[in-house]
Amino acid sequence: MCCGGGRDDTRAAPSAALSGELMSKYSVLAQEDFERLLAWLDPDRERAGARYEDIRRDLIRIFTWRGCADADDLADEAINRVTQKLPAIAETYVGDPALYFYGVAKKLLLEYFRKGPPARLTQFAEDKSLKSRAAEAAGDAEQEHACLEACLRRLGAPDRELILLYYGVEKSEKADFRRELAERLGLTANTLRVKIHRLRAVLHDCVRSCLEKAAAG
Amino acid sequence: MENLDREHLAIRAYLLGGGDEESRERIESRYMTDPDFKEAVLLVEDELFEDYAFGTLPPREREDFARRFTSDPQHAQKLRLIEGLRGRAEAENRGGVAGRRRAPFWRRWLPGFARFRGSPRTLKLAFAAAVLVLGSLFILEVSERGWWRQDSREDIERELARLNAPAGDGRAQPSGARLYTLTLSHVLTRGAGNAPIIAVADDDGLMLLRMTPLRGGWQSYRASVQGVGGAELFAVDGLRPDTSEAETVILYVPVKFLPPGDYILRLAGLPGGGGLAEDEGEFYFRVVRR
Repeated sequence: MCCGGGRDDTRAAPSAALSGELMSKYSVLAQEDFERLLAWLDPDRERAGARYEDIRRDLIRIFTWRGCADADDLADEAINRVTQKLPAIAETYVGDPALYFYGVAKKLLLEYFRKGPPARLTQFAEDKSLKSRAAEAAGDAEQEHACLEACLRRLGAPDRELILLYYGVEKSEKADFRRELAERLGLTANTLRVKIHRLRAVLHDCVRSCLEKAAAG
Repeated sequence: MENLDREHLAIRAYLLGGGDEESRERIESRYMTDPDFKEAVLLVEDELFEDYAFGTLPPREREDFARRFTSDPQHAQKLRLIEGLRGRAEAENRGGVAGRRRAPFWRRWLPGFARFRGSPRTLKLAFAAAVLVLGSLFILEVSERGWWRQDSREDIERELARLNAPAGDGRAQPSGARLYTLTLSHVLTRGAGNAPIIAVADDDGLMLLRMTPLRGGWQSYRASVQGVGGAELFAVDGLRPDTSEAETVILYVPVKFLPPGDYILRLAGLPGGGGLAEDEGEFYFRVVRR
């Protein structure tokens, strides 16, 4: 179903003061409509903004996982449609708003599917390292390395050691190593996987933020 | 997050474009509404990225992954992060960890002598020569590098952790040790050129370094110390602040760990649930010998 890759937007949730920034970006939504949408998501504007970002990010991911190109645009279209429906449903809808968004997203997927066979990604350089392609400028790679080092230093020593231990194991021994490491730490294997996943997410956010700061100068 | 293995295969198949429409919708609607399940999906996605980066995906899965995930800059960055972590970990294993836990030089050379085969007289002569050479080198190394360097960083940090453990939590401060106290101020307010000085008289003493965080309010702190222009010497986590008056953090350091010289202490606040430390100030100080 659908087509190529999408963009995974993982920006931090906006504060109430930033809703104007959101408005300028998503200008297809009128101010009034946007406010109505936020109010539907949560009476507290800060929480509503965070919820909005979460839902948008989740929709982008789903469209990406479905193989859709322009996942951002599809997510925005889903949000537009929900916003237009709001006057009719806001008072009577019962349940998690996220499910309503998902329902609209499913209809969008069907529409795109009915348009014909999905256009496959025709060009992907599977064998060429993305690292070399996307960071061809030496400065990018160096900056990323510097950001990774800085972010690793900001982790607590036990967390830093754990994640470096985890990534230092030979790939062929990974399953056995995970089990042994979990036992050593007094954790279940699944708990260890979750811990590593969360550390990875923290590092990724930190590196992204560091790169943005570096780019801003 | 229970029974992740049971769901793992279904999530993995979904992420690679498999499964029927019903199973996809089941996963997606649950993803949108169940935070634990969302984390499970993102975890499996992460591990797919790892498998792709490390070349352990079967060819068909590799193709499915590349079709979905390799055209987006954010995903590319994620792959580079994984490769960067791997490279860093390998570097640590090659030199860092071995270096940190490096045995004293005499322990590294001893096995060579133990393998010697020769007549008893030759052995005695060789042994005497070895003692002479090793003894001279040992004296030279201690005098050049300083006594504290004989301890590995791990040993130093272990001792510092014991000294700085919260009261009642296994804190072990040597009784009778002479205490040298110094109140540090931020580089921002004092300037690096006017570093406070702590004058110590003996190697068996204990330094008490007192500092005020820039913002404060953290459950615990990390203090890391480095020589000016040099690498980090040690770090201590879990320092609890004293909030009886203005919030202060105290670090105990044996004198033997800080030979005369200039140092930078970096203080960072540690979030309670884990995560990244936040900068809480930089402090210069100088150690001199009376």
